[in-house]
Amino acid sequence: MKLKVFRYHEGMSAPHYDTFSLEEEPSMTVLRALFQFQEQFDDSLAFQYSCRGSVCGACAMLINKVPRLACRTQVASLLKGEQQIALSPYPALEEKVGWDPSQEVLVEPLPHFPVVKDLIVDRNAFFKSYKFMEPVIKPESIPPKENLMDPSDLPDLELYTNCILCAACYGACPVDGENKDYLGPAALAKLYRFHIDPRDADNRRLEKADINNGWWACDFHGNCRQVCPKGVPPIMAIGQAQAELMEKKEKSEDKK
Amino acid sequence: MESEFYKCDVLIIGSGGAGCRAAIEVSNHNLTPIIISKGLSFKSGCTGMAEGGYNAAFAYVDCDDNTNIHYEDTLKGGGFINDPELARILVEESPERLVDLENYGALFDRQESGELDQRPFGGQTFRRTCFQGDRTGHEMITALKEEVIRREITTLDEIMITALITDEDRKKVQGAVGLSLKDSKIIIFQAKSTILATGGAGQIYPVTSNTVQKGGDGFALAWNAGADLIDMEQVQFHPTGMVYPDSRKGVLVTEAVRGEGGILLDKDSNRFMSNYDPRRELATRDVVARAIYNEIREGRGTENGGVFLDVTHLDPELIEEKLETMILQFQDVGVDIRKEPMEVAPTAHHFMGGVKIDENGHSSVENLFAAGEVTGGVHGANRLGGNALADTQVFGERAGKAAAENALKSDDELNHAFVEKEEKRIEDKIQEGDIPPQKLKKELQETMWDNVAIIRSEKGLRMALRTISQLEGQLSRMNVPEESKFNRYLQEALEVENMIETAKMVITAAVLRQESRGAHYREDFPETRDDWKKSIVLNRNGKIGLISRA
Repeated sequence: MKLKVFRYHEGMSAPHYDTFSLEEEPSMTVLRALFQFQEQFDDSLAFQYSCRGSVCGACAMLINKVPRLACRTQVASLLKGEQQIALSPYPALEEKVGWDPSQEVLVEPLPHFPVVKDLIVDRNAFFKSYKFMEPVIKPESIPPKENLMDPSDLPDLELYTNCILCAACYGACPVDGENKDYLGPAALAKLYRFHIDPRDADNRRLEKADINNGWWACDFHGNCRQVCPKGVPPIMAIGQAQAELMEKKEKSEDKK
Repeated sequence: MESEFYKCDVLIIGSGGAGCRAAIEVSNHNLTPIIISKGLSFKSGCTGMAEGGYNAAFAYVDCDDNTNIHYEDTLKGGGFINDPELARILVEESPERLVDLENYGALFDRQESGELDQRPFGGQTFRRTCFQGDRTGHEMITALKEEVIRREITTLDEIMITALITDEDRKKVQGAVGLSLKDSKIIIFQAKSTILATGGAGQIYPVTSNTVQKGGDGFALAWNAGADLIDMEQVQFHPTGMVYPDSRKGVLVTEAVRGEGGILLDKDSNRFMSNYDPRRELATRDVVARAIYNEIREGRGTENGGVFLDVTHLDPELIEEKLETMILQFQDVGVDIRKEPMEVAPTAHHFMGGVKIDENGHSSVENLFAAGEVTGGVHGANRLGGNALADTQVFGERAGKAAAENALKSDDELNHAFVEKEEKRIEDKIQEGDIPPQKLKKELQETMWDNVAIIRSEKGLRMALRTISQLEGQLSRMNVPEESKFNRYLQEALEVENMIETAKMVITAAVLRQESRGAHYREDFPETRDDWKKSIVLNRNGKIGLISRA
């Protein structure tokens, strides 16, 4: 079993790939494989991670042409072809280097972001979209004690609050690849989360993304939902937001 | 090396729960905070990893609960060496701080009545732990981050703070010097108040639940600035960390698993906890961790060096609802926890000890504040599950407020000579040598695990001290090539010094405490002694202080 890793640093004319033979370990994750690469092959390899337990989202990268977290992706099951996800195609998924999926795990930086060094990308564009959505709760008034909440409201909200902002969906979205100004799946899902929060009083949340590069730019490829390590379905949020906005518009036209 | 300069009212080192909460308070005073983190903002702290919950005596589930009982549980759990005043503040203010979190947008689980739900946790008389499934910390850090965004607070990430700037007399802190990991630039922060919110030092052990950034930087920064540190021997090992795969070793399996009814079994399926404590799986963490350690040591552990944690007798629906993260976490390694038991072993989890603070998070050095895990005193010798998240909010708020008030009356000063010296120290790390910094880290972690972990003895502690002195002697031989972008060698060379400093503090205090109390267990002194109902205070000036707790 081998690890084929994308390498790039400032001053290089073009990126290249390093191939490294992995020493087998039980239940080895790609993150562990990257540690082994550092320990035994080249300790200057750069990548980001923090928690090792798929909570922080720092280690999102393109693994076997699917954006995912290195800390929860198993090397052995990749080689067995078990974790392959059929994504709607986009340019970053085209093969830039030959690799043998039965022998090698291919690790590349998350697409749609500028590469800083090796597997580290600059995710600023992603966080800019997130901030554009005003991801802050706007209640009618601050209650003296905590709010009472109907527990049956929680599951729908949790579907979206689970997002860990790893940007895997952004790297998997064909529209983000073509249109740098598209707000992207995570930011839109976040906006929807505030829209459905019963404590939130801003009833014009959806209008924030009622723009060309917002809800309406989505092509419904569904890659976002497939790659999300936390099972968040941005595509559902986008579909529902579009339907609600259309209904709202129809109603206001009826009134005229 | 190039350098950059920032000036602010309050510099906050760390973007976890305590750092964010402090920043919000500073912004409430219309002052400028800057939040710095070594990893990515909001992602490199441990708050986001916390699963189980937040203790607040609302008495929504068990109506007989109140803050007095929470206080008593906290002191009892802490082996009665907690700073009583800090513990009192923790229990009294934690409910209000939870409401703040809700107002920032955090979600907590509800009962049918619409009131907050509360679960049982180890060492607590009543069900008191508020939660959001098993991702309470994620919910908290998300809400805090969003509040920080609302207030347009500056956050700078991938910067390692290497020293706190002190005046010539080493009496006051004036800001900090940092290294930008992205491009190796040196950054100087001038600040009227500085708050350490750097978390603990799980990474001085090879098996830890902590994020990779937690190597005790804050302890070393405070120590070098001349601040007092307290209870440094008290390191909590969480009883249940993952055993395999290697890259997940130590990753937390939440106490909520036991809170919801999970049981511990040896390799032959015997439920062993009743041999150790009548509270069985819900005894305090120190007791459960030692029990598991003992089972493994006496040969009743699994092949992989753990014991079984079993929830298969629980309703699968309850598991899916309350322990969803655990289902996924084990699914990743091919285990369906609804059908088969998990394998777990103790993991370095929390530093009860740290910077000695007063009730406003003020350290013993002027202009220097601290909040969260980097401080000591709140939890005494052992922390109750659910008290750490509360700690970050209660003392984050207090430190933020006090640091802001301090900034209003303190002067703008900068000891340029200090800054130049620190810049030179960093630059001088770049040299050809024959020892990779990574190797020193590994050796330190191994010796800490073998000698300064769950069961300690004078002999082992002295051995660890010798090994660490040897490692210290090798620091001048580290190999650190020049490289501007993400120079891992340089980062690790700076980190290993902090780890050594922290390890020495832990060992020094562990040698002194010739008894067993809380998380500190001495094989050669297994009894708890009344005359040791006191805290050990360390300072780089060499003086060792003792504070008696009534």
